[in-house]
Amino acid sequence: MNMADNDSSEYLRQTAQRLGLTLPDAELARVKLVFGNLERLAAQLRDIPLADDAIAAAVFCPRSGE
Amino acid sequence: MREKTEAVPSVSSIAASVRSGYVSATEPVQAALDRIADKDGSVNAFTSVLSERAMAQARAIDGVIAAGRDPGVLAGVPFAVKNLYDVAGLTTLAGSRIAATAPAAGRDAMLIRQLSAAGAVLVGATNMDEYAYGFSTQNSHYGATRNPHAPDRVAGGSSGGSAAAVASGMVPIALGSDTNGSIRVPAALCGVFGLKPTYGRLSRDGTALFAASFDHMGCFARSTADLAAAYDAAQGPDPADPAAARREAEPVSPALNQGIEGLRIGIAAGHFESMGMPEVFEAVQRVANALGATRRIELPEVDGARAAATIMTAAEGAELHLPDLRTRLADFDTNTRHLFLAGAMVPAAWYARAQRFRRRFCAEVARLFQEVDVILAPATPYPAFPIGQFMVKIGSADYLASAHLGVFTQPFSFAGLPVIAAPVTPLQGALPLGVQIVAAPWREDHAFRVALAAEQLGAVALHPLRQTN
Repeated sequence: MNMADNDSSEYLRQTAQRLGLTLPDAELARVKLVFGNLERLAAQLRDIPLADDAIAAAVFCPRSGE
Repeated sequence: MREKTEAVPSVSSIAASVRSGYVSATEPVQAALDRIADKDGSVNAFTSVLSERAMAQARAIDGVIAAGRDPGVLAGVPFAVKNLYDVAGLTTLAGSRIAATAPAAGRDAMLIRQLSAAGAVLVGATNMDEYAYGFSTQNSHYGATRNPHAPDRVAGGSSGGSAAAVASGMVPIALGSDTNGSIRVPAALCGVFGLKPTYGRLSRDGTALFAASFDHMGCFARSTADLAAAYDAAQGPDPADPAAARREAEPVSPALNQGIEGLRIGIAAGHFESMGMPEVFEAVQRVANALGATRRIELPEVDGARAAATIMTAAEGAELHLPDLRTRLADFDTNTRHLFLAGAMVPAAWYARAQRFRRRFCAEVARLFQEVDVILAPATPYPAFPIGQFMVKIGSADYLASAHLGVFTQPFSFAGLPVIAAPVTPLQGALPLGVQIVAAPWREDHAFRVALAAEQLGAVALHPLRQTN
């Protein structure tokens, strides 16, 4: 998911609304910046091939790691 | 000016003096309170000082000794805790204005109870980045904690108050927390020893969490031996913490002097040799040279580890604070508000993928530790920067000064590995820098043995405070 600038603002506003958050315009620019960075990081992970059976697990959690 | 190490007694000397009855427990506790009163105005390490509680506890220790009972191995040793630890009768601030209106904690956090059972005496709670979401302890509500070595510079974070309290000699040991580097970064910038143990080693019961997948509790001290004493006292299984491992305490102090013979020590290469100022890499090399370490180790997919850690931290941190983000947005620190909001917007698919990647990364790291026992790496990409500075230039590249501090710490905490951040013996006039001594899961003993050996060789040491003649 790579969003154009307008799409990004719209996504953030709609998601904020669904979460019950108020996103002031003054805050939007800073949030967009951080969210854009998270999106780039997510794209890095998307490109890494993972085995289908790679399970999510908390690291060294006693229930899964011991 | 000359450089001189503050004459603060060690943990063992305090405990020995009190246990033997040579001094009352009130003496080292009052001395710590006096040092706090003298120094904290210029450091701003503490948000609460617990004079009455501390002296009452010290008198109780004297009573235990007078009755012929064992007061504990840390008898009379003053300590401080990051203000995300519950302290009975005190509101747990977690660096926030929002939490300041919450009721006081009903009982002490588990680690405070552990240290107190060993005879240590809590003297206060320390400053931090709001909700632990930062690396510099520049807190808009409670002020910046100043680096004791350079008061116009940051102490690092988010456990900056605890690191500064130890570095300035106010207390010999302090507790902190580390999610992506929040013990190791301030330890390095303040020139003290810091321990982030294996994920799940120390109980998180009674602490305000940030990102539960990564939050580790840990400690600061002025020497390897003191760090080991604090860590040993803090250990023990805790059924009340669902993330705590069901392992009995594994003290490291008895094995400290085993030396490094037989330990395979490597130097982290690749990612850990870039994006930092030359002096941080030279510092690691000096430690490696002293230890005779030459093998270079490449951690696999470090960029992926940092990406996944950042996404997971953002999402988990935001979810925890969602109710307050809805109703009290204006009360968040201006440095953290937009970080939490952005994290709240992270799609589930990003988070789930980051978790899956973590599983793979941990498996790769486990394979790495079949070939090596300890890895050395820089703790931070540069020494402490001036308070208020926003960007740092390294070569031709610009970085966010605070956020970039975690570039070398984040991959190791992503894998839950135990790490000691040890202060590298400085060149003349230099600001503190730290080296990460990284071990395999549950092998804190290896990290401690290497740290002590480096200390005995003179490669790492408490960074001396400058004293005016």
